[in-house]
Amino acid sequence: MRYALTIIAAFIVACWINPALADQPPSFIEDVIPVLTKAGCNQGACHGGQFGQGGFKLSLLGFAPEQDHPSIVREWTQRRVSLLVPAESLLLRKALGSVPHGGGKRMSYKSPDYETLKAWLAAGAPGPVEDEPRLTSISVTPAEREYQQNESQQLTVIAEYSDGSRRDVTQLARFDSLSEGVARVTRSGFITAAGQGQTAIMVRYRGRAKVSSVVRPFADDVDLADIQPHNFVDEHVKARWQKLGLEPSPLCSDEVFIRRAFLASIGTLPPRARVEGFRASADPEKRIELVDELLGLTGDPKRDVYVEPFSAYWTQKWGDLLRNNRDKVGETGMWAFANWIRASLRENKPMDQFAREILLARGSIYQNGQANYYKVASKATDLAETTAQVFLGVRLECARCHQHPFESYSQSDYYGMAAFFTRVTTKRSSDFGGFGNDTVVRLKTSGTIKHPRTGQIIPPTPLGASSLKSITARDLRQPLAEWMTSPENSLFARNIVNRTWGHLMGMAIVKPIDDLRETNPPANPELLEALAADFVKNGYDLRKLMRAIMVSRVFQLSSTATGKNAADTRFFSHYPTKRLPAEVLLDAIDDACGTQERFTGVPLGTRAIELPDPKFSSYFLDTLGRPQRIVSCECERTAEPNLAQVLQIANGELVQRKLTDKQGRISRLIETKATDEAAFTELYLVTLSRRPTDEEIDHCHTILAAANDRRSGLEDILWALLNGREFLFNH
Amino acid sequence: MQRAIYTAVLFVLLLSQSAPAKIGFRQLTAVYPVAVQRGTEQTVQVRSNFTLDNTYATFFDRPGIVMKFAETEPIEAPRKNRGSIGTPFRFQVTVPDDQPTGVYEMRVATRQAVSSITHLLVTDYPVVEEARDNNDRPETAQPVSVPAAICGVCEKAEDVDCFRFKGTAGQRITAQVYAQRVTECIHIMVVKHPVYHMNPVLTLIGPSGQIVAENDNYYGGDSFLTCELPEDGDYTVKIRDVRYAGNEKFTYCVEVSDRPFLQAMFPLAVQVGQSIEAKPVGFGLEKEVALTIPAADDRVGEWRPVRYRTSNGPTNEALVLTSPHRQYALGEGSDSPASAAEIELPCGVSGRVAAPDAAQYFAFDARQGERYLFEVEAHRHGLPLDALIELFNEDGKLFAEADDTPHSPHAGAYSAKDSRLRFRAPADGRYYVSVRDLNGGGGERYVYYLRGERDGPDFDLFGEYYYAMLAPGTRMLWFAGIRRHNGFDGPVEIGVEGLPDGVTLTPATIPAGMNHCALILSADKDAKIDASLVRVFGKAKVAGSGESEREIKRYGIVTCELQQGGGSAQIRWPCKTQIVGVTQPLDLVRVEASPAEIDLQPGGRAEIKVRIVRQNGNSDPATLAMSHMYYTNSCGDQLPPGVTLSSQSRTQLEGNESESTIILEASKDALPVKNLPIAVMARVYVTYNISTNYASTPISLSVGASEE
Repeated sequence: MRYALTIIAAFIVACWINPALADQPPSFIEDVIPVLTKAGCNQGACHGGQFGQGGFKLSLLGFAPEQDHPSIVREWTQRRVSLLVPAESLLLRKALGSVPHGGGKRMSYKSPDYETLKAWLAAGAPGPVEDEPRLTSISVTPAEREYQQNESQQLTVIAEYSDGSRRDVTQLARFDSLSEGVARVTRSGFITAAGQGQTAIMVRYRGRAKVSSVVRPFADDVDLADIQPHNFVDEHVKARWQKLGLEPSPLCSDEVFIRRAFLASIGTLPPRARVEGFRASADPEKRIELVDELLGLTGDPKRDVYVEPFSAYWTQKWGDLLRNNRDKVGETGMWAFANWIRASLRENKPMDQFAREILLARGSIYQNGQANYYKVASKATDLAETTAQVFLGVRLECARCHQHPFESYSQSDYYGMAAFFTRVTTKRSSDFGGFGNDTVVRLKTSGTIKHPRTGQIIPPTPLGASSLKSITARDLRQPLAEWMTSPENSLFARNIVNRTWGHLMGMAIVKPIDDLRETNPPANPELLEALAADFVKNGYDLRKLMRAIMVSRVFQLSSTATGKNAADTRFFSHYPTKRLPAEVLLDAIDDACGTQERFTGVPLGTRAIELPDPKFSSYFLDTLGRPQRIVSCECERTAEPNLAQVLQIANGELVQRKLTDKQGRISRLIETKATDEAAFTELYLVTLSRRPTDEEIDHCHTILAAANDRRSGLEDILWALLNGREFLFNH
Repeated sequence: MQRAIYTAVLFVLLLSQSAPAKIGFRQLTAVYPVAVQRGTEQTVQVRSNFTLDNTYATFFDRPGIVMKFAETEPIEAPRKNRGSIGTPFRFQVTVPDDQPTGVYEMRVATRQAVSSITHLLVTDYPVVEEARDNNDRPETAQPVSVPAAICGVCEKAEDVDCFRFKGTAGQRITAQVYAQRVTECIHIMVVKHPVYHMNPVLTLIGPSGQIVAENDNYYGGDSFLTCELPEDGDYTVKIRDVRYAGNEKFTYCVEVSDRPFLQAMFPLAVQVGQSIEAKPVGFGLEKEVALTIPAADDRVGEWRPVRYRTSNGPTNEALVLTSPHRQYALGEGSDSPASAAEIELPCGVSGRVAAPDAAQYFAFDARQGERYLFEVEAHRHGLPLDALIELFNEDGKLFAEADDTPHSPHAGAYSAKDSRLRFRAPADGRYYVSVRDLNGGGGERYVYYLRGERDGPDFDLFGEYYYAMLAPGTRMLWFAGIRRHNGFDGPVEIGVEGLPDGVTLTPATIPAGMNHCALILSADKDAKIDASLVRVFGKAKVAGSGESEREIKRYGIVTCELQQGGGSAQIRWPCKTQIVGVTQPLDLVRVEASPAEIDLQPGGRAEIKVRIVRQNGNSDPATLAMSHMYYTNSCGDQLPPGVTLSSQSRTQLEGNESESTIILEASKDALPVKNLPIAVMARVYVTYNISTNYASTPISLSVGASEE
């Protein structure tokens, strides 16, 4: 019944919007361009490419209609249109495939799209009309719906205009499924549910984009009565499980928890003594207390002993994002930037302040480490892109040349952001001596940026907000910083929350982690919003945010899937495992082997997570995916396994050297004449943060007995532990 | 007869001494410990490339300190390579009780040569020397008592030095490092490109291992931190180079103290004959204190150190100016043109940029065509303001601004952060001058001194070079340069004050239309071995009020040379001292040039015959020049505009040659000059890019004289 009603509604709507049936001639902007867009004529691979196709160039996805009109109507002595005999127009004949066309047939004879173009030609092919109502938004119905298998839905897309009018543009909109495995969609917006899970249908019309969420439960019935939320995080996660029919895995063991908490929050394996103490403790609050200790939230200096590894580890993450690299800022600048980030994290500087201090940085790049942001990227356009991506999770670079294909951001939005940075410049300074090479970031009293197509000066404009034409601040970046970190701008908080969740949980709520566009919906929108709201409420306190996540039940779930959640890869019904980052892995190998890797340029004892940039030579780190900080994208850190990584850990020089180190753990076990079982236990505790099972002890005895000598036997055991998934992954 | 005896003695001396070839200045590289407590006596080691044997005098840029050579046996000190750390020589230093604290420039004179510059810090606190072994971790930190001036060396890459003291909860600790400031004029500090000076990071670690405070850069690259200790227990002061670079030349001093730390007194200046009620600015101060500070009427125009005693011990010293002019003090307010304080020039203003991104405005009346000058002093006194001066008219239109103040034309790398603004009023009216921090800083400590006065024809003088060595009977060539202001185009007579007995300057005047000249220093044949710090000055007549003229005298702004690794990079850096020494015979005994007078016509050319006389045994090549070039950079010039050294000149004299001819060419539009003293420079290279320079007998150059 629902299906039939949908078909009828779609037919009525289609008749209503068909311009051929209306009195008015079709609008070039509202009718012709969408037809061409939907037919793919102006996409990048066809005439929307940089140089067009076959001498016919259209703006990408029709975002510059004032350029497209003369291209269609005037170029090549009007050969593409016949206003006297519209049906003979090359434009139509190519589209029908009745003459040779590299793009093949794009529409059918007498189809609504064909009729629209023909009617427009018959009306004299009018161009863009200046006072035509401006498209302000689109909406899609239904925005979210739960489906059973093979259930269908016709989407309806309504456009809203600046004069208040509304129009159904379903037939002119483009539809794409983000996961064909969950739901398929036709060119006309007809959805058919397929597999289990959750996805979205992306709807685009005239530079606007929306999604319709498709929820296809994993099970019809699920009993979550016994799942007691630890905090608001769990409530939202649980609600999503309920909706999706997912039942979570049980809580993880204490041993797994302490290892996970240490690795996720401070990038460090827990010391053996701490593991044993934690395991032995009967305190029901011990997990919460551990989290507070790891995050330095106890207020007791004697307990807050992890502040340094915490700040070092997160400095590395922010250093990646902010591209702190001596190749860009020099060795001294690189250290100054790293030290500033680390000091900010050490003092738990609120993240809004952290971002503001970076954005508003001025002065010496050595004295004000954050000023290196303007040395890493110095052009206004680069700064706009980096700022949007790092602090807002918005990938803006597409809009540099054309309207963002999956977002509502235009070139004007792009250059509006860039305009904030047009008065930033640098000069030399003598403050650090004759050969100090210091640079001072300072402000100019003037500076503007022009739209590359229209040549108009673009006023500073925050993304998705009104332009700031009456800025009185001397520093144009001031209103940007205020807007960006204001509670009203949800992008900032959502971005930080999503990144933090991703790092702690092994998988972000929005994937990719720095792509928060509307057409890339979160796995759990309510969770993201709740975390963001809590983050804002707590004054952008990073550690409190991390605490909320780490004390939650969902953080403490076992990583082993059950039959009730094995198909889930997005909704945190079991803890997502993730290979340890390169630096964490190297430190973990050192901890396990009782050794210390030497990095030239820093004192012995400096851990890999403390390295301030990637220029400390380490083949191991590079092979295991250490990013070179070329781009402001977390994707630069590769977590995907490859053969070189496997070989590096299995047969690499580094692991071998550490296993056989004369001062290392195996040597000490032999020197102290540790019993076999004591040795096995120690090796398990320092690698997997747990004691071996009886079966594992038996295996160890077998390995030891088969070895040429005790040393090589213990080395074999430790080697095997280092190469196991349980060691290599945070689980 | 006397001359014959002298010649005979000289001859014997020459024969009896095995003087080394290529005698160059002494390159001082480091002092350890780099600090001496005032009121004490202490032995320090001064490292040098080339021996300091026969040192007979040391010099400091201010009087008071006595430093005596303490070695009794000769020590060879060959320069091993460009980055050589030098060989240590002991000196005994005595610092009087009342010696102002701070960093001093130090020079050494040996009988053979004078030295480059190094530094010595005079401190209030007992000096503690680093026990170098095993102090690289907090657990093995060297125990010290507070207050202390801990002197150490970050001697190798990846070095970390730790010092432990007992602290109590609530105790305010202040620590500052002197590293860059005690090495900034050292000729060659290079470690590896681009690392030059030590750039310290100072970390205070608490009893539980937590970082209580940390600072990288405060006074340029030097660190400063202050905090209240959170608990009783052992605290560790950790110091390292920010890049973990290290070198024996990376000497440092960390002053760790629990005494109040004074950065300034506000107001910063007092008018002569008057006194001020001043409040301290800094850390750990009893802020309600107001001190009466009288002017130092015998030191008008000078900044003098002041300090005061608190219940927590004496403060360090801050500087107060005694000014001849009216003074204004505005610790707050005046933060918009509407609320601008009115000032009457000439005057001084003690001001404060009280909040971030704020500015202070001052209104004054100006007359059309009159010139005015405003200058901020803050950064040079260790205050945080990086001044930006802006000038507005009554309509609020910005029409002049001044950021940094460039130093000499040769010190391209150096620009002072204290700004100076010169402007000429386009019309009668009210104008507003504002002061703000370039970087948007502001707060209690952003105090400054603004000098405002009528301006007129003027010049800055730059003295090049920072050392001279002359054997009796020889000459040395220095240079002077001027930067003219406000239309001044008159001649400037150049002189040198404080020359050793027997050393004279060939009278030199920079004529109208020229901005440089040669300073030909000559040592009498019977001049005794001696050395002294000197000052180059220039005097000129400029238009005064009405028809009158007045004489202005300006002292030279001096630079030393800093050498980067690879040798190709050399910059000139501001310094305070110039030294002239009469030494034992050098590589060249004489440089003769003829004719003694040249009359060069526009478009014409003139030959100069040059003959050098070498010391016995010397066979080093010599290079002849008319300007002091470092690769393609000119460090000093003497020829008038339009007169050049011809490429046909033969400037290279091999070791077995003693004569050559160089040619001067005048373009058709060469500047006419009359009797300008010039000399041919002969350079004997000590290393491939450092030379000892000699001057020929003076030549009186005229250009276009016969056409006049």
